[in-house]
Amino acid sequence: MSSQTTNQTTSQTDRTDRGNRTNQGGQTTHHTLSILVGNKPGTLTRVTSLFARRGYNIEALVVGQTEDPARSRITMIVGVEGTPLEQIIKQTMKLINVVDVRELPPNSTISQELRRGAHGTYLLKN
Amino acid sequence: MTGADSFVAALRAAGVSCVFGYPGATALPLFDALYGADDIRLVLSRHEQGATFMAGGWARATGRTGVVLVTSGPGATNTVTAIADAYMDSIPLVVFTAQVPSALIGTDAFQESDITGITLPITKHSYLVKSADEIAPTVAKALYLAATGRRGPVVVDIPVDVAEGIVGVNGGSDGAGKSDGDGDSAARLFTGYDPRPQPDPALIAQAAAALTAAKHPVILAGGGVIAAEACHLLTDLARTQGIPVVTTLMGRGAFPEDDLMWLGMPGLFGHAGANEALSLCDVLLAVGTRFAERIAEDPAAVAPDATVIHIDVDAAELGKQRRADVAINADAADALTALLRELPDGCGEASPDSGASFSLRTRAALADTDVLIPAYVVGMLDALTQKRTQQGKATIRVTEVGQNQLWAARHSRVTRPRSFLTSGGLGAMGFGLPTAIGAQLACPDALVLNISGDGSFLMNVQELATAVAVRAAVKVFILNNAGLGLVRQWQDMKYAGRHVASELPVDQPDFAALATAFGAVGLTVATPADFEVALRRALESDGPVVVDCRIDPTDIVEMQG
Repeated sequence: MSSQTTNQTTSQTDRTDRGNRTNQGGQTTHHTLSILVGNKPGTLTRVTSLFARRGYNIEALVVGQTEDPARSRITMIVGVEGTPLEQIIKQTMKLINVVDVRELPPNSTISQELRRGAHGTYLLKN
Repeated sequence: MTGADSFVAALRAAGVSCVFGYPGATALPLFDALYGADDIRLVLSRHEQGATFMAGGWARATGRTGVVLVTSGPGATNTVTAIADAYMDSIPLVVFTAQVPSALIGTDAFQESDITGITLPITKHSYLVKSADEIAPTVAKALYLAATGRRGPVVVDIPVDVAEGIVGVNGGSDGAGKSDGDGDSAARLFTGYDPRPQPDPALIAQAAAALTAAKHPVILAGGGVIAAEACHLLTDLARTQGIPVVTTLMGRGAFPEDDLMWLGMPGLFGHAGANEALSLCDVLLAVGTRFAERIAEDPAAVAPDATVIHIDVDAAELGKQRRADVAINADAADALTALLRELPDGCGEASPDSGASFSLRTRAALADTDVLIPAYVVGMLDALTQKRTQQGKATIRVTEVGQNQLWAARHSRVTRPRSFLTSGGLGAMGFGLPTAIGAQLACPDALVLNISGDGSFLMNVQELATAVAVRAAVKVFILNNAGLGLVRQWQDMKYAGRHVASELPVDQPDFAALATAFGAVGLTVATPADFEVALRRALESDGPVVVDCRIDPTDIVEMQG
């Protein structure tokens, strides 16, 4: 039954700034997250539906079992715009089957994109 | 022993004494296992939503986990609104839903619904039990999760063949979590879940220093203080340090509201003194609150010039709405205990008048209540509550949603925790009657008053049958203004008075006659004199009573500027 107008949080002063903004006004930054989860049915759905309903954008996602069969790892690239990354990480940590969430810092992370080459081969894209 | 037997044994082992539910085909084995279980009361509602709100009322009134048992398909989906309500207000609840046979899951079988999928966003966690052996450990885990950390609802889906299955040698009712089907121990499964994070001593010291140096400190207390059973600690801190207290809707009763240091409730429909205190304070100690957008139009701008100390058991709430200068992730009781140890015994530098001037304004507003009838009704029930408190008798007030809720919040003084039950986060109409019934069953010696509305009351009116059947002597006062009052109020303000879908006939139904048809006492009143007679009559009755209070449809809830 609420009909209050939407919040106008345009104040840029430090003391009223909501949370720890990682960017200014609408620019999207990309972060790679590594999420260690219990290997249980429904865990991936819980993580991805959390991201969907909180409006966090998943750009890419890979998931697989780790060397410990009870654990899987979800590695994803998330586009952060508006909601601070710290909030996303904290919300994900709340999920009961999530064991650990950490950002893979870009300077010590290798990520490669593949492109289709000739004769059906796949090459590293430069 | 069947899975269903181990289900009951696991409930018993966890100390569950009451289950609210409604049977159906796939739930028959589970209900059958409860036959003859005299130590576990089974309360049959008339709608699964009613059962789930009742369990929620039980939990809100006591802090103990509410337990629900319903059938598959529509039985499960009917619980969704009340699960969402428990999720929003952090209420400990476990909802057991029966499910179609395992082999039929995913085939669109009769009375099948993917309840774990449907409730994914509104549960703290959920389980689909795969074998009879898993039932007991899952019951234990579900009850544990619901009742720890930030409390919340957990759904456990039990297929009928699993309930009928025989528990193997390794399983059974030890509830230790060892045989959960894939060999993990409970401890490993819950790695990463810290239900009781301890406060960082350095942050506590920082908070103590800020409070000691503050000139106009204010405490903002929310539902988390009540959930943590930390009300006495909060009261100690406020009184020894001379810090006035503002309470959110969910925090009402965390601090005794007959104390001059209580400044009221913030927000558009709150008290002026509370809003002023929040905007002018220099240090804000926020405990067990999530800075919901009900307390201020822009939560990020609450207490704009203040150092904000935010204590919450849920780390994700720290900094979510309002930046916290000192963010303490801890249970409210642990944090307040630590804080009290760091603070000096006497008052800080707070001006002795800082609380009084705000407080007087709130008190003046509360005193001016005998003019309008809604405020009069609420005021009379408030006077009754205060009188009973002096006599050492418990009273629980349960609201509905809408103008009745806001009048109840504005004109009541709540002096005990868990005595003002309201659907704060979800705002679900239909909450009131079943919640009142659950609270009454949990607290048989309390007087339970339900302040309701003519729209809200009809949403779960069928639970009057339950109230009569189980002799839950709740007293319902319908503030009948022939419509959806709050919707109408907004339509008057923002839609040029176009009352679309907000008018209801004042005497349809004749609520008193309807109550009588259910076997309850029904009364209709339209004047203060009649109301007083009805109130006396209601208190004399040892069963449920419905009082239809005809109020002026043009009365609106006053808003803070």
